[in-house]
Amino acid sequence: MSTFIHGILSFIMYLANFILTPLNALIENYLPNFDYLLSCVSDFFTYISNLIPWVVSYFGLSHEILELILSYLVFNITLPVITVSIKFAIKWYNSLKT
Amino acid sequence: MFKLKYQAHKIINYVFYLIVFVIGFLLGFGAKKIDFNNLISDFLFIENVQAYTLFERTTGSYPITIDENYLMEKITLIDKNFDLKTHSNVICVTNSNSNSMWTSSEFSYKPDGTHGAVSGSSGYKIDCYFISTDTINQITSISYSGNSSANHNFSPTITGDIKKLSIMLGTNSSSLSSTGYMLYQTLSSLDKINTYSTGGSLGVYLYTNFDYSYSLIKNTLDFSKYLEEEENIFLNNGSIFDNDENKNFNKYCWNFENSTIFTLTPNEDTFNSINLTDYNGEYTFFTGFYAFGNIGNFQDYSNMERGYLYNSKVANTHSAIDSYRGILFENLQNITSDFSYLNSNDILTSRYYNTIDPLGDIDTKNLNSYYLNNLSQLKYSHYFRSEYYFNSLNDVGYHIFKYSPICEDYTFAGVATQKKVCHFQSGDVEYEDISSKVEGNVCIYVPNNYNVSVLTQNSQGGITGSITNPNGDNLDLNSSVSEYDEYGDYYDYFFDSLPFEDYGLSSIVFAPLNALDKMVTGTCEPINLNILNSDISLPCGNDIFWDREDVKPFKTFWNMFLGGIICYGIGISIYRTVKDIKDPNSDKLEVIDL
Repeated sequence: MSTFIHGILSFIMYLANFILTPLNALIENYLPNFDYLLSCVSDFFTYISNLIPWVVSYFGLSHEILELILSYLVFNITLPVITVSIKFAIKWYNSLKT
Repeated sequence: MFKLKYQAHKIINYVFYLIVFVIGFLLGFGAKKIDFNNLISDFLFIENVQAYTLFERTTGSYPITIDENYLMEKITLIDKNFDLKTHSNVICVTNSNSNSMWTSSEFSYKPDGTHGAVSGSSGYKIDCYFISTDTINQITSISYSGNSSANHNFSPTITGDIKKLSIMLGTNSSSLSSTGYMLYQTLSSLDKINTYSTGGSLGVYLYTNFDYSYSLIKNTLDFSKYLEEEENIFLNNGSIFDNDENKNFNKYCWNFENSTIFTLTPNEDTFNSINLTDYNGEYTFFTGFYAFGNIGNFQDYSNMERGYLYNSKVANTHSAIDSYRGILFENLQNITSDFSYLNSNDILTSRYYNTIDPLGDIDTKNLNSYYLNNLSQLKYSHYFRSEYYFNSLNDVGYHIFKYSPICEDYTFAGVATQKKVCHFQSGDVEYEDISSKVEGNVCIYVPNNYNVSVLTQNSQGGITGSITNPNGDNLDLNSSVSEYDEYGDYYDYFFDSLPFEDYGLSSIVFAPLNALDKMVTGTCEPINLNILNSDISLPCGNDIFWDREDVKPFKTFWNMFLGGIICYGIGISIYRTVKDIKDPNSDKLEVIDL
């Protein structure tokens, strides 16, 4: 199951990368100031991300609970994508049939 | 709604019928197609071998060479599942006299599947055994008798997963034809390999990812290249110090105070490949860990940049260079007179062929020319023979492990001509130290598929010292430190291989996932701020509260309490999500809001 979820996530991320790559290139080449702004935002996110373990350490949560939370979040962002896709396919099939 | 349900039901039924049909086909109709009577055991053949896949004899009239590329290509052809990674221990046997000739009886199963002898009757044969690590680990002893002019008898007795590749060439001993056969066989056991040589050539060749080889190795194959791509544990022709950013390795540094216990544990069965290529037919060394002893017999080498610990099976003098088994020392020029080396007499020759543990060969009870000090201990573990122990006193730090095979011209004391000396990777630690006394940080480079733990303690057993993480920040060391132990393997893997991008819009889009990753795999580090020229450090919650001994009972309760609330919340949320998913008219897609 983890491989499956991992595959879905990878696919989505590759898709996002694929879509964003030309945008990134455009911004990098033609809007250098905006690119700098984005890098600042990115750095900020990285900084915040690095603070997360520090924050988490104050909650005293065990690793198991953190894993549980992570599992839940992964579940929450993958399963709906799958089910919505299936629903869409069935809808499409039904509409074709009628 | 009804229509949708009906369709879904039908689809499930179809899938079920399909599965039943496939299983039925495999169990019934498909199986009947196989006629076991005509099955040629588990032999596979490749006919008409065009290239010689042979070995070079050290003496004799029939020089034979082997093309390892060709060999690997053929093996893969006949066994697509063949994986050198899992069968990385290769033992090849050939002979020089008539015993090496294969006979017609060996081809009682002909390549075309019929029974009977192959025309041509006999020729040269080489048997290569590709043995899985699990299997070869069963070997508790290997005896090898004989020398270059006598019989060779190599007799491991093991049971397990063994692939045998027989290469049969030629039709007679005096004229090797360019065609032949490969016979591929899956064995369940390897009872014994006996070879006999009366012509002065070495009859047994060992290619292993550990070190049974030593002086047995003469002309060998370099199988490591087949593993580089997968394992990615090699550096590309360069020193590890050239690029600290090399992602194949993590750098660990720590301060030595008194003693150190250093442990490496592979996360998986890693192939610690040894490039067994014998450079120009001269020397093959096994490189392991470095040890320390008094200068003893090696004073002649004081001007060398390198020396080596050796165990000479043939002679105990350094003149018998080609019989040395080496543990390479480096930076000997830094060694002071009070520094010691291991003496060959201190090495247990009885363990010569049945162990790969270089330090296991040291007779610690009968040391007379060096001292193993009790101040620090280094323990090294790899997937096969796992433990190496090193003890050193004030001498830690003269040692550098190299990963890439390095061959250099070398001048030996008392030897007029330069010799090519190679040392090959085996130990997976690069040990860096410069000074004669270890006072500063000592750094090691460890492949990132290894767990590392470092424990420093003083002679009274108290814990002192510190370890430095790969980023260079000092961490207090209160107990053994494991870089990876606290992370679950699953999440490590889960996020490691996801295509994160760290630039432009991509980095912003993926920031939530990065944050999730950090939540589980991140290590808390104190926040250091400089405000109005004063340094402020905000310690981690674990350091100031949760890791205290008297807090542990409360922590257990706290986790139970908070975990319960979180579990309840997650349960409610999942219920809502599933309920929403069940609604066929809902296309709502949950995402993580920034």
